[in-house]
Amino acid sequence: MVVEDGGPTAPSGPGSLIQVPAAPTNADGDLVIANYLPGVAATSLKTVMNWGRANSLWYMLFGLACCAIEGLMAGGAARWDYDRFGMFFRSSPRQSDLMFVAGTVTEKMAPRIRTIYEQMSEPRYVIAVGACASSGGPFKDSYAVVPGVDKIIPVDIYVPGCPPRPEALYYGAIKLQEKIMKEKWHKKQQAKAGARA
Amino acid sequence: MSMEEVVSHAKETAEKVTAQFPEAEVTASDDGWVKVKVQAGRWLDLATFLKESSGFDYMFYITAVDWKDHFTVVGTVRSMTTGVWAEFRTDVTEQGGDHPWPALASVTGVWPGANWMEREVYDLFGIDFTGHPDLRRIMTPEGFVGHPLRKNFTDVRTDRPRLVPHR
Repeated sequence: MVVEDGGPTAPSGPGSLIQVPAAPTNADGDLVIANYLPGVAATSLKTVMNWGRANSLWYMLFGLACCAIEGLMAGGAARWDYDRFGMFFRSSPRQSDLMFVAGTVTEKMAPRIRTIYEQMSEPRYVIAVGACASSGGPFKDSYAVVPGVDKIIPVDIYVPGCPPRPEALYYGAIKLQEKIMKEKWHKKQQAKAGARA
Repeated sequence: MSMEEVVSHAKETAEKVTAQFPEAEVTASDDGWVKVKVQAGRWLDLATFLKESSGFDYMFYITAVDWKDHFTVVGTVRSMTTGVWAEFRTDVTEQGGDHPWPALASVTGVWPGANWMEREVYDLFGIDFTGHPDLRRIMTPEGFVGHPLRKNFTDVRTDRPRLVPHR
């Protein structure tokens, strides 16, 4: 049979213009839709959602000290450039998925960091940039310093260094992308729904 | 203005201060500084004299030193017309009774720029500036206990748990 108008019906079979592979399965015997219908990929909704989230991380920078200059200003500028990872700077926590906490967290700033974190919409992620934000760094014993921002907000990735190079921050960002790709958000939603019910 | 003129102005200022405050230790150095040490009771008189009679119109800073048995409060001012620096200091001690803090007269009325600096010294050293219009803590967070730059300061914060479990 010959398709005359190229309509939506795509017949197959012997003599068709469209050549359908004989066995649309892989070595394990699973059906591979990409082989059956070219240009179509089959995956789970979880993977698609995680893929979208991991590759459009809009970040808010919470620059507190010298790490902000090295990791966020230099790292965000043209020489290193976060845009390559689909990461764009947003100056509002409402539009951000990711917050970089860069620098020494003082006791006076800690409630403000907590407020900004709570203003971000879920899913939200935090990267602690440098030794100070990770653990207090050299100011750990100071009366004015919170020994690590993880005493205030949950942290996903710790990037060591004093300050870390922009490359180290990119490694942390890529690690966060890998973490997001493994995220089982549907189970989290189910758990939340179960908790509410 | 040449350095020689600044030094001569400094020596002239030192002579004027010595004449007015005979009990004070006054030195004029070769780099244009006048250094005065007075008793705590004449602190405000000295500040007023420096401002009104010697033209020290620029308040640079006020800070303090903890010597364990007493505190030294140090102020630095500059004359923007002659270029002379003046450093004036005094010793204060903790008082007993119902007012245990060391107290000193505030110079905010002489130099308004001393307002936040005296608040800082109050916050970090616990020195009470009497006559200050708004003596509140300026640097430490709300509810802070103690004065952290004192030698006998101990941190009373309780340890907070990490929000991220160890793996």
